[in-house]
Amino acid sequence: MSLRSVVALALMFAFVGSAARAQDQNLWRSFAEKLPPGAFVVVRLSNGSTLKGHLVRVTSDTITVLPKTRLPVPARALAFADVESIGNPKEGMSPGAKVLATAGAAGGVVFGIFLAVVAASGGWD
Amino acid sequence: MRRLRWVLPLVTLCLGLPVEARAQQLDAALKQPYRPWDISGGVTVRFGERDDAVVPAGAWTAEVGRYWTGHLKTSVTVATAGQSNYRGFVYDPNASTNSSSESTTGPVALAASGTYQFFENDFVHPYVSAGARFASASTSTRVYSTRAPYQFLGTFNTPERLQARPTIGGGFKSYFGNGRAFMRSELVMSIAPHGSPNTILLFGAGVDF
Repeated sequence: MSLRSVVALALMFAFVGSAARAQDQNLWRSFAEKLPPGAFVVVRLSNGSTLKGHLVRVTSDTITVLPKTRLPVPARALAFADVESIGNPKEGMSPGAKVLATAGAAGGVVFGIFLAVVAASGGWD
Repeated sequence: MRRLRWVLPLVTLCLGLPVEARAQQLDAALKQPYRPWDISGGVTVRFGERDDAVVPAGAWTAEVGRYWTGHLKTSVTVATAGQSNYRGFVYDPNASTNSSSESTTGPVALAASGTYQFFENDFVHPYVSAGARFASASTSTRVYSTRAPYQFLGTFNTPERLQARPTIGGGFKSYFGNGRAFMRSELVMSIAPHGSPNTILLFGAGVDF
């Protein structure tokens, strides 16, 4: 294979790739436009990072997301060119609430077992 | 033809550079704030083969921590102590005595530790920590004669002595929706002088400020 063919192939792949990316951009833009402001979104970027947050604004080129962080940080405008995918999952309980609920349930089970053992042994006397 | 050799890397570079530049911009925007202090309380349970003068079977703890960066924290912990541990029974055939000793720990134990916290400004932070626990303990030894009339010979007390245990562990800080209050679960291993490790489970809650 000559070098000229290699260059031609590389350019063709680059063109096909960019056409596919443009199609993806349109897809994610139309998806984002249908979401209401404040919707919880998970945006995966082409650099491998993920951003969770609430939707602020959608323009023709960018999606603006307020990151879901403990301490407030500025909203981030992400170019659709960088977006790999956008998800709109249900926003669940906070991790702290999950831990508390789990600990409460475990404590309840242990207390229940304790009461059952006391009852089986004939009470306190 | 020779000129064409440069075209391929150049095309690749031109296609790759904008993506790299955008990724760098995004990374630069990720400088995260943090609250410098946290305070927490909790309960600890010890699992281990032997009693330990410094680490009680169960204790209440209170901790104050200072974040120096979003990842590094130093903290001081106060814990309830005051436990008495029976340390065994010794027969001395030469002196014809039996003795039993018991160590009693002071009412409060202290701990100091350094922590590395993973992630920044997130709702769950795993962390690893290392430090030491301190408590002062005294030993009381009661001696009995093994010859008739088998009398009690006396009690011998050693003065209170500060004891330390190195600790290493890790856990999770799981925040509530307000981003300030958190639940904390931690597993710590402490090494006693005789080499046997004690595992300490901590469960608590606290707040950043």
